[in-house]
Amino acid sequence: MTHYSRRRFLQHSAAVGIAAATQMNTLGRIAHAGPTDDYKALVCILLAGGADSFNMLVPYDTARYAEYAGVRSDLALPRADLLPLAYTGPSGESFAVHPGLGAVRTLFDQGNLAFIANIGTLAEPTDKTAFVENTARLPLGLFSHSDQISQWQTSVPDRRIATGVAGRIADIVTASAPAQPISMNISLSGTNVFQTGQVVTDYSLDANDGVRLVAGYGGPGSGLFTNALDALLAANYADPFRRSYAAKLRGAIDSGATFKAALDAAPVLNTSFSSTPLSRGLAQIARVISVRDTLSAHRHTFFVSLGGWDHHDNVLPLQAQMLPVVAAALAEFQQSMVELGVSDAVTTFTISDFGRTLTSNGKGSDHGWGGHQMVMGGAVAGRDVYGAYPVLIPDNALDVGRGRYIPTTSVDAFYAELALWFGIAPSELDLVLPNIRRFYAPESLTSPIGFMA
Amino acid sequence: MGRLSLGALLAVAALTLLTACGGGGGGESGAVAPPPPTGPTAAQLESAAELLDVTTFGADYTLVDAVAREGNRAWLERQFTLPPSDHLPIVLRYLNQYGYDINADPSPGLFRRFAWWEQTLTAEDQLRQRVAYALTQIFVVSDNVDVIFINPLALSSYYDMLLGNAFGNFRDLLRAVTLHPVMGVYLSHVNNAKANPATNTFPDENYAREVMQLFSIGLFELNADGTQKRDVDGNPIPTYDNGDIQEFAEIFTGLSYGPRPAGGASFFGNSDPVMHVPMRMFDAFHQGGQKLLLNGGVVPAGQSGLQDIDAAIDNLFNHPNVGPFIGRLLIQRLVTSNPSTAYVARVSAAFAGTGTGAPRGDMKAVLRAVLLDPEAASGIHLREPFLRFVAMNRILHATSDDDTYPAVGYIAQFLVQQHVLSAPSVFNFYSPAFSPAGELGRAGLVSPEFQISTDSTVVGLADLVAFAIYGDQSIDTPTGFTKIRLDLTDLEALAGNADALIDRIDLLFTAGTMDAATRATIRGAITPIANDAPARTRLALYLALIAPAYAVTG
Repeated sequence: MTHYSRRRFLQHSAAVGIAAATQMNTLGRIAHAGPTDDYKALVCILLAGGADSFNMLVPYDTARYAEYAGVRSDLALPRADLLPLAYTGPSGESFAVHPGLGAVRTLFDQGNLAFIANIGTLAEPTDKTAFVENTARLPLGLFSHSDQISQWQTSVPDRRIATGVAGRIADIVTASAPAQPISMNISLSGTNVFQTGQVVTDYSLDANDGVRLVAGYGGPGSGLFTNALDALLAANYADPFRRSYAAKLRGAIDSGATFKAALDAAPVLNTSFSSTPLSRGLAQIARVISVRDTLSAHRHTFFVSLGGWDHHDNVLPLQAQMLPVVAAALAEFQQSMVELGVSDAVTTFTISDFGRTLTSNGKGSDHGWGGHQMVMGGAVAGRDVYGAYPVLIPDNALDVGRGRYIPTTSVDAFYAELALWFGIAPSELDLVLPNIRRFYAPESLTSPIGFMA
Repeated sequence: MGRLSLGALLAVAALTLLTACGGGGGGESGAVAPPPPTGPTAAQLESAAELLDVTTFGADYTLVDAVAREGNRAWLERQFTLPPSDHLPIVLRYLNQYGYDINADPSPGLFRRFAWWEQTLTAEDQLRQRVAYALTQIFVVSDNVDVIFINPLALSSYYDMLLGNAFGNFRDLLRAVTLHPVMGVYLSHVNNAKANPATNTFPDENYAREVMQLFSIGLFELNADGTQKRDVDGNPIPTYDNGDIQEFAEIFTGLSYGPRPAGGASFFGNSDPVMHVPMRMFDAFHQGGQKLLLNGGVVPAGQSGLQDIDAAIDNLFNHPNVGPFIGRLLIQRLVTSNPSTAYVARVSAAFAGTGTGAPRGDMKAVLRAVLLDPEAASGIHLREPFLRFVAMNRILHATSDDDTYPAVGYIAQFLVQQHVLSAPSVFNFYSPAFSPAGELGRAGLVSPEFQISTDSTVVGLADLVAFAIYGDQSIDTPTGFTKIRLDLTDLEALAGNADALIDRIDLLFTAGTMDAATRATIRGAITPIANDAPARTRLALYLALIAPAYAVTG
């Protein structure tokens, strides 16, 4: 441990110590359940690039629509095109979604989907005075893609760290739950910081081909190679490094084969998925969930990314193309979860780098801060808009320039809500979300936001 | 037909090997010419290959033979005298050719990758390049920060700074790292202003912490042999506390971007990054007053900002931890994961200048101690997956039609989660103290590189090897740029004799250490493939390069 950095040392110690510290309560919730009666999954959809979500969830009552239209100018969607939601807020406010989100409106109106308004990365609760006078702790690299896309995954915006929320959750869960042959964190979009823990890392699955296999291994006409590699991995090497590497590769090949065999035996779903990359990714996730018992899986997190949302140009035509793809994929996935009977056990949510400027640059919108996100599933208290939807007037109390809004709900509170639903104990929240106490007291008897009622 | 083409990156996983078809030359009848009587012995060749394995990015037979003739020590000393092959001129060449439009496809930000690959594959000053690479994993910065990625000058300038200081003095290296704008961005001490009581703001502590924790002295007081000192209660002794960090944070205030070489404004708070000239001190924004350093050092009030920084660098440089702390990191990056305390102590002594005739911090003295130590010959560490990919391309003569190397390396990064100057955080791709679960962990051994050896990446590495050996290019280049391919003709000429082929692969990749079982397995796999030298060569390479025998050095 001599050269362990302090941060990493503390985190590592925490991760290693988890088994002792939290085994009892975690075991009580997860391990003693049977293979089918306790399963939960979180599905994270990253809209990479910073989706212009102020055109996804739009004020609809006449007065607030007029404010929206005023501030967005040439980026405003015509009111007649919007799809109103079956929801009226406490002050009588109403909302609509983008015309390309018809399937999202259906999910919302059915109670299976909710919006979280003006959510974003915060190092601590921040108001405009503190921002202007530079007295607030702010996220590093605010308004930049790389930092914000990472901080939405780490939920630690004041440091550049290499572990993410789902990774730290998995460190806790796998320290006490029965072993799963495959990592409980499965990515359809390659390694990502969201699912990287101190101990647990993601298992990458391809949206098209499924399990990554050693090229040529076990393939037709490749007996010479396959037999030779088997022999190389079975040999008894003199040094422990080679023995460990051989064991690692052997294990990876075998778990890949296990995974592939399970997926190959997956039932064919009646739900049909579109051929878009996002739908194909979610279809793979549905297949994995359908074989959760074969995989002895009690908990899964999934990660899938869809890029192309950095709409400095052409935000209107591009959103009109891209949002129906998201809506269709969400609806298909939710339908497949209902078909598998796990709608209440699987919660899907979107994240994105940031919201975008309310004001136009003449072609599109630029990097902002707070934005709106969706959360979907049978366990979601849907048909609701959580958080505080800003008043869309120029230079409002949240506006730090051109309609970049200081978030009024933190990413920490959002993940705390999901983590508690997933089975993380309040006493473990500090390990999952190191900054959570700046936004929420884990001992509190109320939920952080309330969307997982 | 031993070749396969790749439709797309993701098709890698679907590759199938077709190894049993006929065609091509070779065959068992090809006899190998005996070595000329004046050539180096097998032992000399293997000794040279072993040195080159840790001092270059990979050596082909020509280089191994030349070093065997020249002698290891003489070659090493000559490497110390070669001038640096800088990367920035290559970036400028591409910018001249393609312009500097940050919205272009490919992004000019990729030119720094082109430059890295070109010099790494072709430059003669391999030791300097290899040491600079090791330093990128100590003084970590990364293109995963946008403003660093999009500026094609940023990371090449940073790398050139490491190249220029690799054989100099550690003090100058630490100072140059501190003042480089890429580090200023990465650890946020660029535009870091002095405290403002009116707004209750304080200097950013980020760099102050990491320069101590990661770049110089580490967290705990060390003995010269790298073991931790203990207090009377047997506890490790922290090297600094948060109060020290606040004092150092005051030191690192007042820096902003320097002027562009072409002229233009330079002012504190400038948000237009100039990434290839050292940061400039603006004393009006530097925290005045006295600062307390470590071990009783004091910076008096009234000095200029750069005088303060020099005093702080001196204070850290002279801390007794630097020799064992940095020495051990260099040993791990170049030679072995678990050096003995005696080995660390010998490197510490070299750092201190004991018996070398060189001043404290002389990097050549430190590198000689690291590379020529008696333990170095039996050094064991898991090879970095990215370095395996680089070595494969160098040893197997990666070439292009026009002698440029516009390589991107995204396929490698996708499959093995590693590429130079692209770490996920300042804590590098792995911790120097990472001890994997299982046999190594139970034995108390560390293996940093195991931290990125996941189920996905160990399979991905095999796919990466297959991609390069069986695909129609060995490193990905952007559409419209020349392709880079391996040239296996040397090996194919030996393929008629399985033992000759395996001998050569063993010499070049494993310095003659390949165990008998591995050799027998590879021989057994290729022997049934008659009269197809390309297929034999490729299968032998594929197996050898994913075998445990090659995955680990020594």
